[in-house]
Amino acid sequence: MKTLKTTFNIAVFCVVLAGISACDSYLEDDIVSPNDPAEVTPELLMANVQVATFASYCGQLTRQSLVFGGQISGTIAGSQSQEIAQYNITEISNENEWEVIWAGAVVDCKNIVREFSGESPYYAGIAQVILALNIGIATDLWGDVPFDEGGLGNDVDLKPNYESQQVVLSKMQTLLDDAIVNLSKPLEDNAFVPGADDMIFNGDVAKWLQTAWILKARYANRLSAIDPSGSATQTLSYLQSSGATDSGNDAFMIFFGGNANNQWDAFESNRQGYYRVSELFVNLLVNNNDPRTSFFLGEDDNGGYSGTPSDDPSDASTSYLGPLYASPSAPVPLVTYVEAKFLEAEAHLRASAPGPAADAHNAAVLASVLQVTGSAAPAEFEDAFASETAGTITQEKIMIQKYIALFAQIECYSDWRRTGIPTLAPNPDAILTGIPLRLPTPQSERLYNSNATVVGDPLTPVYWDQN
Amino acid sequence: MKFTLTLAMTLSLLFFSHLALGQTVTYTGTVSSAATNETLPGATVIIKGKTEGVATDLNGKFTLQAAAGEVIVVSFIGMKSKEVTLGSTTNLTVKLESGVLMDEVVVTALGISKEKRALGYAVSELDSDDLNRSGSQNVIQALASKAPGVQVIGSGGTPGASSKVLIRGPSTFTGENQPLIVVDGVPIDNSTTQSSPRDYPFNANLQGVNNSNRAIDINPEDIESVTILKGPAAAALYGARAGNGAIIYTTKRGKMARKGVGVKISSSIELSQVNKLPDFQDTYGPGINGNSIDLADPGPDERYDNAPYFNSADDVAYGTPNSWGPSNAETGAQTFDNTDSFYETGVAFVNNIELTGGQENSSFRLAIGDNRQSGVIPNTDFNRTSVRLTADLQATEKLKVGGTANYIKSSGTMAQNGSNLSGVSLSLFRMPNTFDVRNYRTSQGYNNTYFFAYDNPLYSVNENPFTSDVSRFLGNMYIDLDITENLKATYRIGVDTYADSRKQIFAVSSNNDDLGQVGQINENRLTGNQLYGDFILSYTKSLTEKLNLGVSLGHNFFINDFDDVFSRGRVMSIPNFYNLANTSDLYSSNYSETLKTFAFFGNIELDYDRWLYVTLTGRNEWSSSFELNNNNFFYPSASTSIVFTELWDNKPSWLTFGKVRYSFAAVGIAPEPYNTATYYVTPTYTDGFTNGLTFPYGPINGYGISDVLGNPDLKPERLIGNEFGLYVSFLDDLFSLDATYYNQTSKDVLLFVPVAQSSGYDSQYTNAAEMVNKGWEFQLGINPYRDGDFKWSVDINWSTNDNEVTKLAAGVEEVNLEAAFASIGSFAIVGEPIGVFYGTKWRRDSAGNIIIGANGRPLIDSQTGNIGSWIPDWLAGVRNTFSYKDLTLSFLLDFRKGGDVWNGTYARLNNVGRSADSEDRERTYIVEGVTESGEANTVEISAQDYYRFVVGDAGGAAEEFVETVDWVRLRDLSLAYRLKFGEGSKIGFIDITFTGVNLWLSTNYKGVDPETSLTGAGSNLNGFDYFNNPGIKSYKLGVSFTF
Repeated sequence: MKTLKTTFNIAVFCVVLAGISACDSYLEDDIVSPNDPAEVTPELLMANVQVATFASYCGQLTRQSLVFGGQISGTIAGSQSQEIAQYNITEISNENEWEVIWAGAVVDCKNIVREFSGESPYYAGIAQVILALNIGIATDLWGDVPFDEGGLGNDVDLKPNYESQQVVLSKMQTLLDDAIVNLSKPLEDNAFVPGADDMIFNGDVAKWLQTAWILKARYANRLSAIDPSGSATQTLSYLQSSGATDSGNDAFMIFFGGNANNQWDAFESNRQGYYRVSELFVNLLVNNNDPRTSFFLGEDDNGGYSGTPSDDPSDASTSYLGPLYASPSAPVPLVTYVEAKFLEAEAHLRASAPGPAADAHNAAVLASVLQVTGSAAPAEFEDAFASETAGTITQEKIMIQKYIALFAQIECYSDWRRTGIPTLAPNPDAILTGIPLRLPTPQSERLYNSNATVVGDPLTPVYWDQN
Repeated sequence: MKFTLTLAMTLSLLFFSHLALGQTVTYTGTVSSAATNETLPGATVIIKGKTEGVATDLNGKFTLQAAAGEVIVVSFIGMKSKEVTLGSTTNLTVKLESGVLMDEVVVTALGISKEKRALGYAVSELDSDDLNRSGSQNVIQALASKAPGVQVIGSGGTPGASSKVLIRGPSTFTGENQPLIVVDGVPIDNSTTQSSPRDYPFNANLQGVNNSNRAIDINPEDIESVTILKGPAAAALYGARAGNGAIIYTTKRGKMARKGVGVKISSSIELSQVNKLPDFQDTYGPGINGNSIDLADPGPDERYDNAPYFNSADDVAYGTPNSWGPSNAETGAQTFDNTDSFYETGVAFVNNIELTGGQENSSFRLAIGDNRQSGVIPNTDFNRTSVRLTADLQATEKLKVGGTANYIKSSGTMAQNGSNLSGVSLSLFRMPNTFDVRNYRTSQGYNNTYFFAYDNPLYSVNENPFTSDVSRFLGNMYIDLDITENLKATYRIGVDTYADSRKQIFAVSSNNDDLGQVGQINENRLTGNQLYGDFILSYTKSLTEKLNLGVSLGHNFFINDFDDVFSRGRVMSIPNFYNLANTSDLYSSNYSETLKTFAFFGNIELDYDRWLYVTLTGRNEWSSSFELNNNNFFYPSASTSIVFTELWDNKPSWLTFGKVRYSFAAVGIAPEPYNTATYYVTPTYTDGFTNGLTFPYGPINGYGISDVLGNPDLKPERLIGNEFGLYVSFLDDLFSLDATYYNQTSKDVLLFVPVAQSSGYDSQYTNAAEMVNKGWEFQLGINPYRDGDFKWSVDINWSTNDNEVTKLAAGVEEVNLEAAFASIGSFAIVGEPIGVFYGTKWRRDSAGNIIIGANGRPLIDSQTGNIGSWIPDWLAGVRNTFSYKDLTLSFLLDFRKGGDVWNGTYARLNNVGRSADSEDRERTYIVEGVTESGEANTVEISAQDYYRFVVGDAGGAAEEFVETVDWVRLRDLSLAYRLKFGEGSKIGFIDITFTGVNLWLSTNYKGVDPETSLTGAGSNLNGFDYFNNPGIKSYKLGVSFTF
């Protein structure tokens, strides 16, 4: 019995020992996921941040902003679109979109800059421009955001410090300056360069440089109400540096259908009738006999063009966006020459140079018609809307033509907040007393980030909105 | 290669454990009732202190190998167990007296049998009658309302739909909350898996079909008994899988020493019907503002750029989902009872053939069961064929071997459920009553519907079937070796392997494909392979005359491989030809997972003079879901039982038996694999309205850092339980009461701790939270008439579980558990029960009055919050069983008090003007509340505005739709008659049984049967009803013969 016991004890001891040391090899192969990689290449990250940017600039943020900005109307075809029509946005309404900006684009843009700027300044420069686009849309909609600390994860203890919009806007200028420096370096400084992974420009850094300058102008001009003359000077200087002379270098969002479906098209396919072009916008086109009408607008149920009033969402039989922007692989503008010319017009006018303002305005309108329709504007249209002079040009005219030309771009909502043009009537059935001027700070920031600036009221304007 | 190691270790244990053999003899015997002298078939005979045993055959006879001097314990349900010391007489006659349930033996963790009186923790036991009376073909659903502390949540009445089981409430946030399911000592896969590709950005549980929980593959006819190990102490030997308890199914086996072959044939037919639907209005037709809107043109209304097969230039009317039109009396429109036209009577045929037999040293059971069931929703079904062979061989006096091979073929056709444009209830319930659901196809065969965005539900069930076809093999074998009189070794190994071949098609013109009416095929192949083995060495010894010791040591290993391959084709070239080659947009993704664990465990039992019992267990477990430096954990438990009636010299005669028990345990719940690192993923960017943008993006691939931060320091979650129990029985078990109080704290609960997304991440998987489940469980048995022709027994179970989240992560007071709907989610909030509904609320003043806007509608608060808990206040079951001679009537009343359900269906039916409430629309409404300046609201709003914006989901706060649900239901009723034949007859007996399920339901809930789950057993969401498929009631007639 004793022998048995001893033998048994030894046996157990051996087995336990053998077990513990052998366990590691038994277990270790299955600790690491076979489903996802731990390391990736800059090409993969570049494609990722671009797609994230397309999701932000061609998704819910843009749709709801265009409702607030009066270009489209939410209808009763969907309860969610009706909520938007009633300005019923809460702190949870845009959590997804907030996440796409920071956890989709910002974190990986910063990864690219950190990991690859030494080997490839071009990758870094492009990532910086894309970062500016993302922080730009965030600050335009939410005001204060964490410019320096956003997307840095555990490095900032997962609680990024917010910075005022004023600071964010100035840091965006610096960021774009850095981008311009990187993009201006010689090709030899790059161990590798972007190609097809750069869907926007296929690695063409000259085009990225132009885009960076126009973006600088866009955000300099954001301060039109705060520093009218200084912002005008800067805007004009950046536009000068951009060297943009036509629409050939425009930045477009790229879609391929399928998993890469144009989101205006995908939305109408999945959520048919939820949004229709507004009556106001349709009237702007139809009343002007605008040659872009049949490009911007789809036909309504009666084969014509009509819009849904923003204060009566019951009619979903009106026009949706036309195939120009709403078909499976249609590209959608992001930063364009047309916008640059309108910025130039506005800045000149503010700088008390109505002549150059009128010239820029006319050029912008004509460039838009050419780009959208593929042909030059008809003479009567040019006479009526692109023949302004120093004596006739007004901010109202510039902003209305920009409103039309930048159809379906989120810029229109910022422009409306900044200038009050066009005049929009709030939906009387809304749950707010006016049109939202910003988005409430997302719930996750309120709950989990003690360093966040929390603003809950959508009627509180952002810093640059001082009109 | 991985398990050669384990095998080697097992073998080494075998070798080292010198084999010392003793002398055994074959004993035979007959067990009968002392009161009636009737023989007792199915009585158990075990050798005291060992895990093995035999059962008596139909004539009450048994044969057993044992050594003289050993003690056998003979027990039978409802009888006092009897101990017989074996001597020279090898032919025994054992007479059992009725009463004293506590001397029975029960199967516990790792297959160890124990006397009930020795248990220091609560278990519940069910036998095959209990399962049969449920009328369910799902061995999980069959447990409903039968044991205190056990909550079963079916997900609807569709055939094959999953049932979720929770014991003592949820103990984890993100992982598995359901107990371990064990069949014959081997854990089996009971997962419920939704089919979804990697680029699907949403919670796949919210839509799709009601998939099966894989335990549905087990044929209930094969089950002999069920033991439910409720607390952590009971299940402690299962270690990191014991946190939610364990349900142990023991299957039927052949009986040795019964010469010849016994045959049992049973057959039944069951009819099922919908048991409850929401109430609808039938006065008003389609339209808005009282004006009529034409229903959709026949055929699809879609943009046709991808779809050359549509030729519908006339398609302009989109139709409407709204029934706010003029009254049908006014328009003279013909109306239809569409729910009546749609639902069918489901029919099920269940046939079983069972052969059992044995020789002196061997036995077998071969059973074939076939179940064919069609549902109340047209073109839904679930079929299962199971072939199970079990054989046991007493190879030598010392060596017993046996095994089971079980092949199962399960297949089903399922209907779209929930938030789904092809959803059956969604489209059917919203359907204006001037549309006839039966006209579901256009002349070209396309979807004909009333509103362009929804499928006609008949089109959906006929043209968009989801099919699942499972082949599964369950096999196990064991070797029992009596090394010496006191030392015994058992080795057991089991496999569970299945392949589930699934196909979902969406016909051209159906709405639920991803791109819009262009047709889609999803081919999904799931395979699961589990391998489990354990080795147990057990030693028993009487240390003194009164003190007995039992020690077990062992190890086990577990390997689970899961593989999911998904292929999708979209944009079909030829309508109705369902091959991937017929599509122009192809996508494929796969997911694999391997989990390995390995453990050593030990169990020490002490029993002193049959009144004091102490059990200590320990288990050290290694798992591949942790990093190597942090991958093993120890799980202890201790329990004791004190039979105080043994100590009480002058105990009153009416007190038959009494014991108190206490247990403590710390067990675990392991994290899902692959959470220790932060990986790069192919992201999907979506705002929730479209399927978004994902990779490959056209021709280009991309990866981004995951939004979830991994955590190299992961530990298992700890469930620490304390449990007190009292069992008393009076007047020879005329009354018995089993009461349990437990307090279980889940510590280090893993959660995706939400982080501010501006950090670039949305969560980090961290051991941070704490949650407490505490509650009472009572089981009361009353046997007013036990002896004689007329018998009556009452079993009452009642339980309440109080759950509270006591801690989340630092700085986190609320966390979203699983994505649900935009307006309502499922949250953990400190100080509240787990999974509270979290959604929009009305804005209120300091006095709690709802604030009404100038337009007469209440305002929504800008912050969302807790608006209700799904956890019931209490659950109860009351079974009455009456028998007179061979006629038995049994019925189970099931009570639920409290617990909330979010009735998203009702919210939408109000919105679209289909609910019965919205019929009252020829008047205006004034919402009770105050204006922003504090005066009483006097603004009248139209009925349409009221039902849409206040009590409908076009603007109503989510809190408006959370209903507190009570019910009383006749869960089952069975009437059985046994026709007996004489000794000489070839036929043993014939049983004729009628079973009714859910024949009566009384509830305050405004929707379908509130025992419903949108998300099924594969999700930790509970209490969501958004156009869930309805529940059923059923009538079953069965007959069985034995030869």
